[in-house]
Amino acid sequence: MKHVYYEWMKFIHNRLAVALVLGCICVNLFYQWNAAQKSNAWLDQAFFDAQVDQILEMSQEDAGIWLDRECAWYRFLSQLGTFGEAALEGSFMQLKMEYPEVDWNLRLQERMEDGFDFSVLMREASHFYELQKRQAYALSYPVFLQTIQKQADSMLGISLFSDNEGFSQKNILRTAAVYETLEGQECRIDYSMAVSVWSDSQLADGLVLILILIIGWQIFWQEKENGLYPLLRCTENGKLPLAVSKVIAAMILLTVTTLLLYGSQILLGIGMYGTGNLEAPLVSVSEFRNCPYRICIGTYLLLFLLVKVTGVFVFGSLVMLLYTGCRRFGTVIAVYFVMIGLEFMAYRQIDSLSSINGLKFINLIAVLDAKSWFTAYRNINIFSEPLTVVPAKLVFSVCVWIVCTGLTLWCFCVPERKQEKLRLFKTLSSSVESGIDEAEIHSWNSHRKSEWIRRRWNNFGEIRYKLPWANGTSLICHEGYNLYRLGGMWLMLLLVLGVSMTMAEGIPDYSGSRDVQVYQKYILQIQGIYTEETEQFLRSEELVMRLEDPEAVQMKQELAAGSVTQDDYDQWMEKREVQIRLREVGFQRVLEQERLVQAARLLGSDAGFADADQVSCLFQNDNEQIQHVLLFLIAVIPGITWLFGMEQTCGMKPLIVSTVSGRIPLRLRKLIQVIGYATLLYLILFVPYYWEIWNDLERVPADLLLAGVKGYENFPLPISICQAFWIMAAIQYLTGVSCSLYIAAVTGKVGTPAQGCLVNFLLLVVPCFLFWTGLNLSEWTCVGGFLPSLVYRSGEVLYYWKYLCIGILLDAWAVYRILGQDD
Amino acid sequence: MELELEHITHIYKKGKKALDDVSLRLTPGVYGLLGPNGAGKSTLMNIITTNLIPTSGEALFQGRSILADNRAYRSRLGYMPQQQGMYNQMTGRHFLWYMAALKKIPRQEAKKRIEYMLELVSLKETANQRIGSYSGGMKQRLLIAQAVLNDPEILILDEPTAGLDPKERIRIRNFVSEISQNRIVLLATHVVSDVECIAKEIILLKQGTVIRQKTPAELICEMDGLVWEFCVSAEELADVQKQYRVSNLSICPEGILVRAVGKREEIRRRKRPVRAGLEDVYLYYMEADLGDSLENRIQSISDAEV
Ligand SMILES: Nc1ncnc2c1ncn2[C@@H]1O[C@H](COP(=O)(O)OP(=O)(O)O)[C@@H](O)[C@H]1O
Ligand SMILES: [Mg+2]
Repeated sequence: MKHVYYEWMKFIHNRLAVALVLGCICVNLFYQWNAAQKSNAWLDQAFFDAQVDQILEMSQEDAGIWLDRECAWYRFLSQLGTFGEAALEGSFMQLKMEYPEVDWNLRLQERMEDGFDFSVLMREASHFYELQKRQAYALSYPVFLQTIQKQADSMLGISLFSDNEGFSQKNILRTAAVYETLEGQECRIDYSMAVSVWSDSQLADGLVLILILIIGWQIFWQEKENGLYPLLRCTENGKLPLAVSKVIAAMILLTVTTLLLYGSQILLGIGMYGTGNLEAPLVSVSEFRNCPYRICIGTYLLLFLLVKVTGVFVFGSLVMLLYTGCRRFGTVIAVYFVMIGLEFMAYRQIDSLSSINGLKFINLIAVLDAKSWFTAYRNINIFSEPLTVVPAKLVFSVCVWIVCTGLTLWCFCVPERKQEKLRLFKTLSSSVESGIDEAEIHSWNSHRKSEWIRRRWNNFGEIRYKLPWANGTSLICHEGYNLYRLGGMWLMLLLVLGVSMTMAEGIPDYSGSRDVQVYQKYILQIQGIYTEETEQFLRSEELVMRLEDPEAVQMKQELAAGSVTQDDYDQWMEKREVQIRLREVGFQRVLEQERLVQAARLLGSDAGFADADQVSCLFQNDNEQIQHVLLFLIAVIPGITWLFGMEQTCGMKPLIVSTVSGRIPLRLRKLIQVIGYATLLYLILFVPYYWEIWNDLERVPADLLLAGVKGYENFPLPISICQAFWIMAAIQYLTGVSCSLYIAAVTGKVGTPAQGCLVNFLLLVVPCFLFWTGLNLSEWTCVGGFLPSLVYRSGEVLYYWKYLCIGILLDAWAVYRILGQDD
Repeated sequence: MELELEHITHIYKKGKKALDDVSLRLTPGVYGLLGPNGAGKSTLMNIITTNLIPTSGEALFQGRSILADNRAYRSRLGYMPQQQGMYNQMTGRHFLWYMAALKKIPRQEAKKRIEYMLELVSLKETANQRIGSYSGGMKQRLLIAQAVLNDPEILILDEPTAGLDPKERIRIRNFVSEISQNRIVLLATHVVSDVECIAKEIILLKQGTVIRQKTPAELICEMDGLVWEFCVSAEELADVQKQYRVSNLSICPEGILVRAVGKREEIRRRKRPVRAGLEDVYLYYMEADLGDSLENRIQSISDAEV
């Protein structure tokens, strides 16, 4: 227990770690507060509660009628506000007719006497709409339960003919049985909005993944980094007891952190919206309609926290294992994030009914996503046996936790052999480079294997030391050597190159659907600058669609004149209608685009038609772009933090700083190398990606105005698609470079590479990761800089200026920090 | 060539006063900076190597502040830091090349110097191995090689012999005395024998203050009549060690021969005076908590001089 206490004290005295934890909590709270403010700006809690109280005194039917009436009243008032007196005629009469029991004239008079403030009115109305929604939902819930049972019955009837023993059959039976137990739950409307506030925890999840890394680093890595492990291990309690207490301390710290992070969010929700009725069944909240448990909101709150703690434990145990098992911090980080990435992909991409849905549900991310434990009832297909997800998740979590913790303890106590095995990364990197590791040579020698190899090796060694970067006085070469060879970043480059090659897929073929085919055909005909001809063509097509083209007119005339029989005409009509129906959707899109093109012609004469689907592959596939950005950051951060922190790790800083070139010149060279590295990575990652897309682009004349293409009509600047592409690439690249400078500066400030890595992951990778998961923080973080195409869609060019200013300021700070530090 | 420290005081951020009004004048030759752990030796060296900026006071080289023309000053500097860690992935030779690049030594010259230094510190055979595989002594030698690579005028060595076996110690000592011509060498250590025979002057540093700066011979002369030898039985030994500042013990026919430092009246035993060594000097000044205060002792030496 004493050790646990010491670990605690160590953590509390580490200002960086504590600051990061507190910072994360604050960021999370601020974000949640801001989001809640935005989405529930109308809410006046006291007013809401008053209405709820009023409703609770009525019977359910009365409440329904009353709410409908109030909503109708507010709808009328809002019309009155918009259209003025005109509304009095239509809407008011309708209101009077629908609800004759109320003296509406009187009410209107009273309302007018209070003063008619439109914004207040709209806010009040929102309360009633919300309540009405809740009420309607409460009424629909029993129906929902019945539907499930009915569906089950009917499905059973059908599947009598198909396979009786199949997964879907059992799945349906099981599902029906579970929902049967929920029969008789009554939904209530007096719950608090807080439920939604604390249930949406994406940001907190992203942050907690980094906090786990930080806590693990503090407890398991710091001493390792400082070379204290051999010392600790040979003390009396240095092995198992120390390991156990470290694990316990980590778990307690994780629990506290989790409770603080999510608890503060819960408290924020409650602070903003009150607790509401905590005893209301959870299914009262429409998001939780599919919840298969008979629990109330209060229980859900506790279970939610519990699940989060479980999830954090699972990740925590994995991180502990990585820290004790791996030799290099880079390996830890890489494995951790690759694992998260894969798990997230599986969680996101796999269909919940597919036969490998086990990978989706029995998944680390799924464990952490506490809300998903309660929002659905799912069965996994295990050899066509349905296995309920939640217990499976629980068992999975406990198993992972036990296995990882056990392995951690083992690794901690049996270090040497283990470490040899985990040296894979290093051995790989050095053996790939030289073919033979020096250590191996020694062992060969001792086995007297071959004098020949030894001589060859020595020759090779001699050559190696004659190479300019190992044997020269150019600082920049030396720093390159430090980065790529000593830091192992050449291997990183190779890895990234491999990944980038497999990720560059170009534009997928989606001419599958007929509408798209039609659209593409049209575009093929009219692509390029919008001219008279284009317009004529479109007008004539329009006539065809409206049956007003010469042919149709002639047909009609001939029919009228009797030269065509009705039968023939009908036949012709039928053909024509088929034709029209086939083309309709595609043509509508073209027409829509025409309007945009015409609007864009005000900007410049180069507006015209381009395949909007394909252009969207350049400017709209945020998902792929952010994946590339994530890779970029994950590859760039370890390299930079290593280069700028290497002196610190081995205590060489005083020596380096006391040499002639050890200050500004050295750091300048490092900076140049860093920019070079970032450039290389950018090229490796984005050139194949864009190359493939450009190769696949058809029907996209690149010199057309961007604003004329659907999706970018808000963009106010007259630049062509090609220019837009180059601008996007340039901004992306510059953001990458300025992030690199920033990373370097932060590393210099916080000290060792490991710390630098952690801080930078938190500041840069987390926002991008969250963007990937669907949480858009692009206004506030580097995401916006990495995805300049977001502005093409929103049209808010001012953002560029904002980014430019922030970027220049940050980089000025960074360069100042790096170069001007202690001179 | 002259390096001057004027009234240097350094207070660390947490309020720890590491140096208190230190003034020194250094001219070419070896200076032994002697003091126990925590005396402030490394702090002083960090100030001389411009790693730290002193809280007050100034360091002057050739009459100019070392912070004023920092780069020119650093180009004449060779520094061997107190050993903590090194670039374990680099090979020894590569490390020297890296340092040569940092010290802006021209390529041809660097090549010659590096091979020469490797020969000198006997690392030629192992120069292409990773530093991580070096022993402590090899690392120390490599660090020394690095420090003199640019043929510095000021050579700062912070505990160069820490953790070395006696043979290595002697080698390093000889090496330092060989290269000490025409340069200022400041060698910090808490082991007296490291500097005893090679130092031009000894600087005794204690709790951040310089308490003595004299040639070894002068220091030893001062101690005349303050070092004694007497015999005790094995049972008495523990008491005696508590009572007196014992600088050495050896076996003699009657029991154990104790060598102790102190004034005549302090040592109440049958004793005979012996010639002092530098070891005795160090002990005399550093173990202040026994008997009278440091001031008294310095006073008593001045009295003796009179
Ligand atoms: N970075 C630091 N911060 C605070 N105090 C320090 C720092 N470095 C050294 N000290 C303190 O300054 C005193 C002198 O330290 P140092 O110069 O390293 O001694 P020496 O090298 O003689 O053993 C010691 O008491 C030590 O505790
Ligand atoms: Mg020291």
